[in-house]
Amino acid sequence: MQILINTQCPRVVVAPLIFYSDQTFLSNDGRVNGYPLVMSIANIACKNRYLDEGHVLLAILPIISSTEASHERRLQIFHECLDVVLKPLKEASFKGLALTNPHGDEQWVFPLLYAYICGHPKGCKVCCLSPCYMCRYIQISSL
Amino acid sequence: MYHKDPLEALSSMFSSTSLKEDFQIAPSNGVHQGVYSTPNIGLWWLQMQVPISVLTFKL
Repeated sequence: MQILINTQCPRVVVAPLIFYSDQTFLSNDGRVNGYPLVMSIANIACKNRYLDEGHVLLAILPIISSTEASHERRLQIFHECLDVVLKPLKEASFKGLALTNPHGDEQWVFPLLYAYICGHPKGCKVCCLSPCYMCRYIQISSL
Repeated sequence: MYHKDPLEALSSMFSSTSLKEDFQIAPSNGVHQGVYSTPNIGLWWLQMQVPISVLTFKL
C-alpha cells in the first residue's frame, strides 16, 4: 500500500498503530486494578518495539466489576473510554498530521489502527463479541 | 481514567532518533492487521472438560 501511495504522493506515510493492553494491579494490596493501554507503531522494527522509545503508555482504562454494571453497560463504557483516548488519532487518520521522521524529513502521516493485542476475554470485549469460552461454559452447565 | 495526548506520543515515537537505523517508511514485517488474543490454556481445558462432564452425566 505504501508503494502505491508513494507513486502519487511521495511525502505521505501511513503510521500503523499497534495497541497492547492487559489487566494489571495498580496498588500493592491488589485492590486497585486497571487496563494499561500501550501504543507502538509498526514503522519501528520488531526488535526495537519493546525498547523505552519504541512504545508509550497511552492510558489506563478503568475496570468495572460485574456487580456494578451489566455486561452491555461495561462494554459501552469500555468503548466510550477508548473513544475519548483515541479521538485525536481518529481525526488525524482522516486529515493527517505533519511529523518529522528520524532521518529529518518532514512527512504527512496518517495513523491507522493496525493491531490490538490482548487476552482472549479482552479480545471478545474489543470486538463486542459476548459469547466467550466462559459464557459457553455457563450456558452448557445450566442445561 | 488516566490518559495522555496520543498525537504527542505518536510524534515522539515517530521522530525518535535513537530508532533511526531500523525505521521503516513502509512496514513489511511484524504483525498482520487484526485483533490478537493470547491462547488461554485454562479456558481451553475448561472447554474440553465440559462436554466430557455432560456426556458422563447423561450416561
